[in-house]
Amino acid sequence: MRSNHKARFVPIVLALGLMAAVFGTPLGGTPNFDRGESDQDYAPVTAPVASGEAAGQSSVDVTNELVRHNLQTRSTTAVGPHGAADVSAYLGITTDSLSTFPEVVGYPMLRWDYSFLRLRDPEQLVAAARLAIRAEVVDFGLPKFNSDTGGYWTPGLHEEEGVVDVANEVWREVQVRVTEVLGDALDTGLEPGDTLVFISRGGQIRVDPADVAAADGNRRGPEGEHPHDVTLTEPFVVQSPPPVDLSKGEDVLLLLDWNKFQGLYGGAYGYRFELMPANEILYKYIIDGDTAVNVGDPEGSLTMSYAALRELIDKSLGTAAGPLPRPGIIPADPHPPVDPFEGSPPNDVDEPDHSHGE
Amino acid sequence: MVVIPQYSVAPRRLSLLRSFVALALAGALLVPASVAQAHTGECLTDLLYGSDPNCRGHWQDFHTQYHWNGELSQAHHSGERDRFLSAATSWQNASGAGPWHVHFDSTKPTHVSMVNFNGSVLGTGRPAREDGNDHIPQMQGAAGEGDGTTGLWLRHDIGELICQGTTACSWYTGTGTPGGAQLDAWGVWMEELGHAQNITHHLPPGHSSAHDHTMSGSTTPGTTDKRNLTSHEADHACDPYELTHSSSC
Repeated sequence: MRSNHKARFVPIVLALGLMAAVFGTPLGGTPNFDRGESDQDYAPVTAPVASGEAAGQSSVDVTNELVRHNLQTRSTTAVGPHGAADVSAYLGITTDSLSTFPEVVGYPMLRWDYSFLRLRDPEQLVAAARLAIRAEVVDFGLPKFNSDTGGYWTPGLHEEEGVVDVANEVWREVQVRVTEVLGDALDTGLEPGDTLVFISRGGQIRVDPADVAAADGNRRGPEGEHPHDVTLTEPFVVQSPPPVDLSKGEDVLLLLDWNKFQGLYGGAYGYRFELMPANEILYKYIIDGDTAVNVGDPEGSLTMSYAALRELIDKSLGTAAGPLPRPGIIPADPHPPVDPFEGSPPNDVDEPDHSHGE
Repeated sequence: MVVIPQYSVAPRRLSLLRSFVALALAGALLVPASVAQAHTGECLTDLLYGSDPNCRGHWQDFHTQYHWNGELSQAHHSGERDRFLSAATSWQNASGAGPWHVHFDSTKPTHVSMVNFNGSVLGTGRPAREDGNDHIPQMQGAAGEGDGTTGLWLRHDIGELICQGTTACSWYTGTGTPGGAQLDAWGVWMEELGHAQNITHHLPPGHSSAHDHTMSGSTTPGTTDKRNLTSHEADHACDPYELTHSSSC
């Protein structure tokens, strides 16, 4: 490919960093609760450009090339603190779009719906993104929970002041092939032809609660209440609809950002930076002739001429983006985490960082 | 006026009995007229859309009892708690006698919390599963009658979202009009309570997306639109499992 940039694959690496943690290896393998050396798969991030800090800009150095993986070859089961997650049903169907779910027969289904932030000013939307690309949707990863393994976990119960739980959520990877880079506020060196992976909400997972009594016993609140979901004792299915659908082969314009991705890592709440939609219901545009149509905004206030959108990207991309991406897992700060195993947080996590602008 | 019948019992026992009878009468007055239908079978599939008639109609048998969990139980989140009650009352009013008898019970497992979310989520309402006896999401069953696993969550790390230019979002917990970078907690709770009834995202027929309808799936800063249920949405409070309902309150 190109030779004059060593920063080629940061989006991929940042996204695959989660996979590395989830599966112990980037591509799968034995589920485990120990990240082991997975953090080594994360690309180092060089010192940010001083003048760009306020705008969320940085120079990113990437040396990892983990893009050459096959999203469909990963394990279809993962064990988590409160149960196993099984997505093998996806292998039996053709999933041409994010919204395609395997049929649910014989299991109770819990549907997780959300309310999302809606913006009506296109400049606000663009300002919150740090990468704007035209791309072809290539493939989707298998759904998983936001834990080390991708296995099932639930937030705990706390009565103490200052303890804030992190939500358990269902995510999957989206693989796209870049056809044009319209804006790159982190200067990654991404070019047409590169493959990119970002994380999208949504998916369907069959959960087999494991040893509920033991897990519950470890997570009872002071009044003996049950954690969310853990009272379920039989297999059930969680279905989380994607906020915006994507289909394989689709030509899209995407507004993405590297942002905090929270989960249960090593039995502790923590987060890492992942490439994800800048706004989950509004990040996708379809180019129809000279018009850029925001498919998540049927009202039309974000739809405009393609030329005007490109101009806006040139002017405002990343000007209101979040904190600078950092490598590795950052413990939730300052609270002690939920620890379903009543153990200490793993000793290989980064030291708490107080400078990420939260 | 309620007259407590006299019994020939010891004074202390009489006092206890009076208390018991009074409580029972009070309970009878508070519990809405039951709309219970006979449970005739299991309801393990297609729960969401209620095509199975066994999956309908039982939730109104129960009172709603909430437990403020974790961070939401703290004094500085009293505004978020108050607006949750506003939202529950709105749904209750929409359903007439309705199921939304709001009170607190620290020992019951229907949790209302503030948690950190990924992405641009503002909140979520996750319905309880059926348990073989009560097939639709009950906010809280009597002892032994249900899982009570409904989760109602509002975003805690709201300040990390961008609402207006470089202005971070915040919750508006009053009853007036939120500022331009504020999100109406009352309105978002409305949607989450709808999800807890298994109502999915949709726009009322014939309505424009320019208005933040309660179950639209999104909330715009600075608006209070979602506080108000359309008649279409209110009908869900009477027939929560059907997206295309035929009955009204």
